[in-house]
Amino acid sequence: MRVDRKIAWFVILGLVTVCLCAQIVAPANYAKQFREAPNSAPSKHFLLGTDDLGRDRFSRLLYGGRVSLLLAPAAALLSTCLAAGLGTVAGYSGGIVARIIMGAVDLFLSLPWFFLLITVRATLPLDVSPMTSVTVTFALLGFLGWAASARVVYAGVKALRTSDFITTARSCGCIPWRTLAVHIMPNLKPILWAQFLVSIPAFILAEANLTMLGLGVAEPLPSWGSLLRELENYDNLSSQPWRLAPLVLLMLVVWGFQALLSHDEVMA
Amino acid sequence: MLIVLVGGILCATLVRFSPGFGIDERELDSRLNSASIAAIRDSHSSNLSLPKFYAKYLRDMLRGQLGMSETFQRPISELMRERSNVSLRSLAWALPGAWILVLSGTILITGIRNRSLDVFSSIVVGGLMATPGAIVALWAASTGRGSGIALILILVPTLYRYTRNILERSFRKMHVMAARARGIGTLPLLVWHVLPAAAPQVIGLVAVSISMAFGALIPVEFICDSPGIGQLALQAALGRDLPLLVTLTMVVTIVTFLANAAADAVNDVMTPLSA
Repeated sequence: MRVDRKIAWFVILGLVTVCLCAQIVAPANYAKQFREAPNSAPSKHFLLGTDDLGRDRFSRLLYGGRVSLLLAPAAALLSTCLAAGLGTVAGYSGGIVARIIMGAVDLFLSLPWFFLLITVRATLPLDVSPMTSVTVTFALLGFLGWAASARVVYAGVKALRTSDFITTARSCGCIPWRTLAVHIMPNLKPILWAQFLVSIPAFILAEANLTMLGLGVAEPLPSWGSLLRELENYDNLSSQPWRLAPLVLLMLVVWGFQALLSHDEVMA
Repeated sequence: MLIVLVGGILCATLVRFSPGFGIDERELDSRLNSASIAAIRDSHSSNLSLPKFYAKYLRDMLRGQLGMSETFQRPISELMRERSNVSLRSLAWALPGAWILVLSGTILITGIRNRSLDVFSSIVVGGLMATPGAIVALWAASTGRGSGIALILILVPTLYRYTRNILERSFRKMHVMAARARGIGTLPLLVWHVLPAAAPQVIGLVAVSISMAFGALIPVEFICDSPGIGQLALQAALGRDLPLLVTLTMVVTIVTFLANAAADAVNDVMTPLSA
């Protein structure tokens, strides 16, 4: 394994572990307001200081990481499953079914993804509880992010369908479902894994962008996107560099997921 | 064309069935009597039936009328003209700027094949790719750099990575390797062998970059307070402005389709030449 991939695994697994243990590691609850200490600088009580409502930034960073690091992979899994299902059916069956599915893919891809995302997100209720908002945001990412992956899966299945071993299996009387399950799907694993890994950083960044525009995770539940909104007050950044912590962590994680992809997967 | 029409109707369906659609805050004004409230409700009634709305919308569109924006209370054609001028001005130098940076960077790095330069460029591009577009826009707005610079910084890393992969793949082609083995210099190798082989894919990527640029316009124009199409799209989405959203969806789909069709046409001419 390459050194940068080892570092990437170490960074991601380390962060996931720390964020999962937020209830133990974090000094305070993400919503707890220390009203006597708003906007305080880092200290031994508040490692990254407090925000303007007196909430501990370090605790919010850990809880926010839990939201982003658990739900982005869940959304990526959803979109990869959708892409695998639709891409496989289109690639294997061909004909009218393939044309309908690939038409839907073309429709999704003909619109910029972020435009589609804000349009669909804005049609859903905006004044909802934090838990609903976080579920809606990541479910949307999962449901809308499958099209590009489906095209890759479709191309993979189409290539496999005409390969010698599939022709042999079919000539031996292997039924379509068995051919799909036993011969095609296992060969799609590298493609699906690559699509899953590509989707995670894309979804983390999309959530950050959505939340910064006010369409993502609702307060007081933190996500890395909502923590980045603090950077809107850009002028004080040079005197309060610790406010950049969520951005640094987000960039580290996104880099980590990108580094996990092998060179061949990136080239594909 | 079918994709454009289906896209429009899907957008209209989504907005029509969104919670709270058709509710007008003026109905809460206690000074209005029941007749006035009925008149307000009546003004929205044309949008309540989706098939009726869409049929009327398409009929009006064929006559060159795009209807009225409910959020801005202005004709959509007027809004589109005004806003697209602002966005086109940003795109007119951001897209070529991004492509000049990407092409010069990738040609230099794949041509020179210097390990430290390659690592440096990978770090810069990786860092930019890992930064949310909204943060780049925020930085541009706070430092007075403008939306064009933000767009370039958002577009360059993705385009760079794709273009570099395309050029690398071209470098690995058999005829390029054979030419290299014969001792052809880097510059002639690039000009006569690598770039012609990569051209069709790069042209395809140019078409994709137009769609990418529109996606990037939304956070950039909203955060930089630049009154363009991107800001209009977000305001239309937030205001659930059905006629404006349908128009924007169709315009964006048509632009993407035209860009792809133009790239295909250029590719049809280029592919035999590069072969």
